[in-house]
Amino acid sequence: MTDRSGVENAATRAIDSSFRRLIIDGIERRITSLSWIARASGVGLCFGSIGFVLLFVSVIERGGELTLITRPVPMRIALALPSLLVVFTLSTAVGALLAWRYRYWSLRARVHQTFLAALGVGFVWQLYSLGFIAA
Amino acid sequence: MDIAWPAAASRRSPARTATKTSDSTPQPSSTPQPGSRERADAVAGEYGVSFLPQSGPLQIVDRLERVSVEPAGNGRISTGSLDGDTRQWVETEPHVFRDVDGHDAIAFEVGDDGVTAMHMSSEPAGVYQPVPIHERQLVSGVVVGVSLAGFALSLVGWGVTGARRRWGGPVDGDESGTGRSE
Repeated sequence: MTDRSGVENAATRAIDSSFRRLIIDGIERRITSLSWIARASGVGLCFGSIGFVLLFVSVIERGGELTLITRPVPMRIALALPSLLVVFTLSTAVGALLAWRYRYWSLRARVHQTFLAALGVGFVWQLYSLGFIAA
Repeated sequence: MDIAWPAAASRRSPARTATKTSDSTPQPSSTPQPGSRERADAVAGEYGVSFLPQSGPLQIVDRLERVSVEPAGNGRISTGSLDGDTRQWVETEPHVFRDVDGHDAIAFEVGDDGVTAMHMSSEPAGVYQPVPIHERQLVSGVVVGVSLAGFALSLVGWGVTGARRRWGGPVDGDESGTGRSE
């Protein structure tokens, strides 16, 4: 009985260990892959930009322009996003350059990455122009 | 510099302007003054009021409160803002215009390089200054609108590609970036 439960425990530990290894390997493989980081930056840029506008507009709709002075937590979160968008834009742009240099992905995906970088630069320029990003 | 604003009018409140204009302010004539069309073209543009913040996130309030000035034909100008307040103005003196349907007045300071300031009698606390083209509402609106549309379409495209890959449909090219790499 004791032997049997010991074997079961060892098997469970082995499965846990290999599962954990699989996840860690997957994460390691992704975060050390420049092409994956480049694409993830593009995804982050899209979600972040849309999220910023939705959050900012919803806070202004609920609390009015006064929330820009009183700065409730949702507004603080919204105002923190533009700095993150600068990082995403830079990494998307660098990723686009690397994609052309090292021929990552299909041609269409490379053009799309370049297009995203250009949109990001335009969006960040407007955020800077509107005072959301300090010089 | 040609400062076209009548000194007395700039210190009047809108209410006093209403009574005074009937006495002293030149009345708009039905025929446009000579050169009024050129002057209406010259003052066209976008103006931002000076008392609003020019730095920090509050700048967006300034961007939303802008007044656009356009020639309206026959020497008249029209002003508009994002809140839908559209008014027509007729010239009473060179670079001085009076509201067609009211008693408000606007005057433009004009220098060698064009308009340097716009004064409105109903806003005695602030001066409107011309806004460069790259900071105008239209430019901001187009850039932000196109960017957001592109981001949204990208997310939809990725979603569709991911769904096709998951449920076995045809996928053109590798959109995920997780396949072939360096």
